[in-house]
Amino acid sequence: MKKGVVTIFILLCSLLPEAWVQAHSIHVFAEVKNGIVEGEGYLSGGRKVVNGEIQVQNAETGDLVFTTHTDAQGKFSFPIAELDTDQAVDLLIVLNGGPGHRSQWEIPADQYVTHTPQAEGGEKQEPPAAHPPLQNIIAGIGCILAIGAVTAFVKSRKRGSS
Amino acid sequence: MHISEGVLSAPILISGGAVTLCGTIVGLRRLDTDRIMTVSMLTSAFFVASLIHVPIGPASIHLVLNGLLGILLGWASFPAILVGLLMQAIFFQYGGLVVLGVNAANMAVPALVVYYLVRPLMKRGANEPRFRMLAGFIGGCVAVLLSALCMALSLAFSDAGFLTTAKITVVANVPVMIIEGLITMFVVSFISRVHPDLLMEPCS
Repeated sequence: MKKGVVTIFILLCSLLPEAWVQAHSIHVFAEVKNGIVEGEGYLSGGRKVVNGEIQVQNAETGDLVFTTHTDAQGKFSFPIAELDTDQAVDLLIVLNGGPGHRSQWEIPADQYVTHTPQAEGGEKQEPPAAHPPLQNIIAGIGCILAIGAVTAFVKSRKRGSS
Repeated sequence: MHISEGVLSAPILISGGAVTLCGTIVGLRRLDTDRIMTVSMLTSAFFVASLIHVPIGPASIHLVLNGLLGILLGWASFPAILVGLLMQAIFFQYGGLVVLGVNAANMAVPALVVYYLVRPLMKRGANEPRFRMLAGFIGGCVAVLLSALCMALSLAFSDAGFLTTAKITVVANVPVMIIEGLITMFVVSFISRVHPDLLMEPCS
């Protein structure tokens, strides 16, 4: 039994050469520079989202204020002045990257009203990582084995009591 | 294959959650205590398989391995896939916690269908190994195909309609179907040689 389980695990792990290990989820990142919102959409693993629909919404009401698409490099940009809003509102940048794939990024109003959040002492926002770190992979496997151990413990106690 | 947060409507989320809950309860009840570590190992394999990205076509597609889980685990593939997806949501930000039930149902229901679909071939393969190889290939392919169709069905109520979505998801996953079919075929063939009892007695 143990031999079989270890065989399966080693076989499957051997399918993971480093160059192949790329993740799969969608991300969008945007920042304001001199009155222009610039951003990009990418998939985990670093691939760019080409021609993905970008919707700019009022973060509070959900109203659509602008629509554009990502280019061949997965990037998009638009001037704040083009937005269909009367006042400074928090913006939600939503990327639709195909069936079931959606990501969003919020731009607070103070970022584009002042244009220079770093100069105001605000923290610079970093785009999310394209690759999950190794410790997350190990932690996930550890949690799965722990859940298995707890399940085995509970089931064996039930079996013992009956 | 993971549907993101904020895409699906509440009735779909609740229905998917209910299916997953029922499947998980049945899977846990039927789970043999002695096979729990096998289930954990296969759950770990499912967890990391999603990191194997297949760079073909415009979309980002990855291995799922739900066919392999279905063949080896039977009903236990429900709790295995649920835990695997939960860990992917927490550690990789794939899918999400709210949409977890639907994503789990979309992958576990095809796994269970594959289990019943290829069982006659697996039994027949006890004497003729090529039937097991065939069962592995069919299981790997069909599981991904059904998952893509389930995903399209989930999105149909909140997207461009079933046929349009199904075409996109199925076409995007054709390379994965073939790759998963081959991987499942080789894994099943290998296990049938080194540890055939794993194939004869599903974990639930």
